[in-house]
Amino acid sequence: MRNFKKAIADIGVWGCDLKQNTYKTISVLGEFGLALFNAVRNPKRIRYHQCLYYFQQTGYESLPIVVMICLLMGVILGFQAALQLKQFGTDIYVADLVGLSIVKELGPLMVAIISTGRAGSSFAAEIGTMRVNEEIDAMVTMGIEPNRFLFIPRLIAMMGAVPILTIFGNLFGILGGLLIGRFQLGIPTVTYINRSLEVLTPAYLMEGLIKSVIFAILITVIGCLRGVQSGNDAHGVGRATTSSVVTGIFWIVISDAIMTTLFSIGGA
Amino acid sequence: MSVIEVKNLTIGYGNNIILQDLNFEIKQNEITFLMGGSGCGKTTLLKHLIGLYPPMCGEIKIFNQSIVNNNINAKRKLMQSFGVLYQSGALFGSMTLAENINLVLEECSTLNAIQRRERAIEKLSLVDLEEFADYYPSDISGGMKKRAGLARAMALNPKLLFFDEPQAGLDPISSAGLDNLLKNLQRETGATFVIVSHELDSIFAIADTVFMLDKDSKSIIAQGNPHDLKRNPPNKWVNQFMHRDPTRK
Repeated sequence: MRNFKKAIADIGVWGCDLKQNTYKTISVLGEFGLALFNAVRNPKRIRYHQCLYYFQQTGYESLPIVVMICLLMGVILGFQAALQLKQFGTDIYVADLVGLSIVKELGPLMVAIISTGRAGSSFAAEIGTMRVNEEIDAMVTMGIEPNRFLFIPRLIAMMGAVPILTIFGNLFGILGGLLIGRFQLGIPTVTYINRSLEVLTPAYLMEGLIKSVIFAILITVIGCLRGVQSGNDAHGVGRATTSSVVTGIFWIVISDAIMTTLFSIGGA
Repeated sequence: MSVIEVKNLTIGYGNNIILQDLNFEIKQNEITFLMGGSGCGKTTLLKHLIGLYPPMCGEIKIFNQSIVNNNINAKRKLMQSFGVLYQSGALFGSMTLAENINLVLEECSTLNAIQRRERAIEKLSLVDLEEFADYYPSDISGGMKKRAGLARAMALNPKLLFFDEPQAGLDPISSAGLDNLLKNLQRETGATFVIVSHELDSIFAIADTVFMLDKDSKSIIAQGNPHDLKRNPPNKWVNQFMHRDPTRK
């Protein structure tokens, strides 16, 4: 009986915590939305040099790892495809499989996951540390709206950086497949490129880029949200950073599934 | 004339009351200390006074304007009329000292870029940091960070400044140096300083008035000149605190 009562009490506490956390999350998301609305209404007040700073941090500095991962992803995909397709004498379709998989799915997804690990976690840690150091309190008492500094520049930077990284990721993914096609299957380079260009329509490229913009928004919102919600100590910042990556990847995969379904229904 | 008026103020977190039914006024052109034992709610009170947290009930007026019952724009404007020095300095790590000051001026004044730079150097020179204008906060010591934070807090020439434990973590020489700096700045600017601290040396050196907070009664148990309170403590706890006596309680 005592255990039963304790279980009921625990459920009650859990419910209250859930309600409070949901309320806080909605409240912070509302503040982000308001900051975005104000930024759109008054673009002169956006701190563009900060956007460039974050663009460099999240875009330019991520480029080597994105290029490396996507190239290897193309190599792996090409290698696996080659093993199967060679049996049926349809080697040239390696270009189709690698090109479509990379451009529609794996390119945007891999870039988003890398960006979550690099940018999303760094946003959460940076904002969390700013909370610990009372920098956010300082902004408030200076009469400055914190989200205009914390959220908007990061969002703009990410919305620019992630699609550009995705384009690079796509190119190097296809290059990975090309290397396998050329050296493993002996497909001439020109033939492989022509086949890729034939199969990759602008609609597919746009699908990947639209996904990458949505992923960029998700990564920024989640990274900043976790930073703002971080505890006031090192432990809290650590938890916020971990949570930003886990939550980020979770929502990226969910949104990817939704978008893939929608694009399939739409015929893309 | 009072700069801050507090009426029937009760503050806390969630349902937990930290201080209740506070009524006091802070006079103009004075250095006022909010002091008390650890955990008595000094910093919590400060954060309510500067409008970071809403009180459970009661009223706080700064320059005759409510910081509690005001719309967000009026509150923001009121916040720009005072400066705050946080315990760690709260400087923005991605900006140099001059840029930290420049940010406040850029957001809250009509000065152009050259004037803002001049003002930043002027404020840094008040705290002897003009040579470090282009240093990042990570490149300077804790004491220097506090002085830079003070320069930033004074960027808009406020007539009211709040300090959260400015002497915490400083060695005795730096702490005494900061006390002198605060005293001189107060004299020069004629501003009102509200300082949260339990550093008795600083309190006796520079305080005009102190308010002593008590954790058990959740209220102000003494107020007045610190030397008078030391000579004639109103109760045992004040006597014990003022004499740094660990045995009597």
